[in-house]
Amino acid sequence: MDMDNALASRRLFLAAPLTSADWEHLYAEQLPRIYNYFRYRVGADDAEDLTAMTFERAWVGRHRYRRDLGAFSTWLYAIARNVAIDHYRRRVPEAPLEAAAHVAAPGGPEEDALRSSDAARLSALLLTLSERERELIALRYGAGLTNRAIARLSGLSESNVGTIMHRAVGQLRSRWPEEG
Amino acid sequence: MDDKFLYGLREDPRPEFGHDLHRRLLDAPSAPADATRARRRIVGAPLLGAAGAAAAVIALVVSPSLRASAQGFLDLFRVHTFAAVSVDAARIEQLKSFDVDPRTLLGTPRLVLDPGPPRAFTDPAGAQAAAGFALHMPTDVPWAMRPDTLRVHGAAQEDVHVDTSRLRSLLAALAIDDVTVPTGLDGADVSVHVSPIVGATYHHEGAEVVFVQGPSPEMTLPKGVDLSRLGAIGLRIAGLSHEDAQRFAQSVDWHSTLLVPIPATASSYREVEVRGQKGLLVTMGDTPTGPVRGRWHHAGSQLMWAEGGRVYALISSSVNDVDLLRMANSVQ
Repeated sequence: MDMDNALASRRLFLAAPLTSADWEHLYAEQLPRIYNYFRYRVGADDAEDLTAMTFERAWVGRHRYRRDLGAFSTWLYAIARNVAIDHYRRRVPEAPLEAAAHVAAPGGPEEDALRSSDAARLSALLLTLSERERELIALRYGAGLTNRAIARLSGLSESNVGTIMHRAVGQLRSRWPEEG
Repeated sequence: MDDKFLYGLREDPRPEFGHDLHRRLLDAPSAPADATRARRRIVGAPLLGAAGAAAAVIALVVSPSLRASAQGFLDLFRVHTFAAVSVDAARIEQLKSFDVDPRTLLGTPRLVLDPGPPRAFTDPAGAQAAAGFALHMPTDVPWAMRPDTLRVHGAAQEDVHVDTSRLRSLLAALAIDDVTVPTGLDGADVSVHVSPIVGATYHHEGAEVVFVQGPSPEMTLPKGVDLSRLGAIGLRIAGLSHEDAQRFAQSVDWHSTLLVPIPATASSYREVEVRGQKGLLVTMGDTPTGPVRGRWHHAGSQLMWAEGGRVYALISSSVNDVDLLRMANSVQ
């Protein structure tokens, strides 16, 4: 533990920085969650890059993390969400509903390969949701957070999170291609 | 069809990706040296960090010393008590999104007294000599722990030539138009000073407690500045309603109260009595239920109080509140 920085950030008595052991534990615990958050949020292609970016920012800024202000995971997800926002600012990938239909529809060999994967279908369907819906779905099903935790992160009420989630899942369900 | 399809995207990250990233992080600089150093120099920084600019304004009002540069700065601030102010989580996120450096809201600070690197000691006598004041230590410590490290941070001072343009911009960005920045502030030269601080770290297996003490920060302000008005601005930025901010601002003795911003959804806090003084106990997440809860805890407690011109804090994520209070009450 970098005690110099630790104590420095404790000035006026409010910070309790991470120890090295903390970091090791948290890295192991949060890596799969953050990675899956991005798989749901932006897709599999960019998930590794954005996961790496998130942990790099957290690592560099870990001295700024203050336990008194929230759980480390909350802090980390705030970083991840900003990374996702930055990503979309750069790329702005908006997929029409037809994109999901395209994945699910009969077609050539490429489409056949994609169709064979539920993950590909779901990934395409997620792109049809609004930003906020996709964000909540990613936090819930990708990162495995509870509605309460999502409410804390998003600033929405827990009931509002539940309502939006219910609506989003309904949309996904309705668009999910039936097994044939 | 059940909800299983919703988990269809989940998969474990590739092991080689995880290992490579981990190695890359460890090989990288832990933090930009300049940033770390600058943070160390800024006395208000701990209050500013994650709470963002809202805390910045509050901190600039109440936590650092703003010392008279030459003449005309007469109002003195010293910490006699702590008060919590709840900060809305959504507002914190909003402030973060503005990318405001809270330290510069009232002007760009200039370091005039460098605290230098902290100095580590293994015995209280050495730390005491370096700090320049007699240490007070708790005598009732869980597991009869003794401090294994004492770090002394030197005094620091910064000058600020007040320019409220950034503060005004932030108020405009937040659409806060029911407060006005005192006009007398612009152009004032103020200085910020913090006395040496000593932190004693106690360890027992996975548990850690840090006991921090130091002379109260001081703040002097230009003559005529309405502290409660400036405080109300900070409270509005923190997310309080106009009415609540005014009520809070008028109820606080801004010359002696250190405000502690606390995210509304992330913490609980309560006033406690420590050695006959009013203290503030802030608890994050679940209250620790036992003396040791493992190496990492999302929960944690911080107990702050002031006595005899000195401010104290006990910080731990692994000692329960009862034991923290016992420690605090045994300080002598």
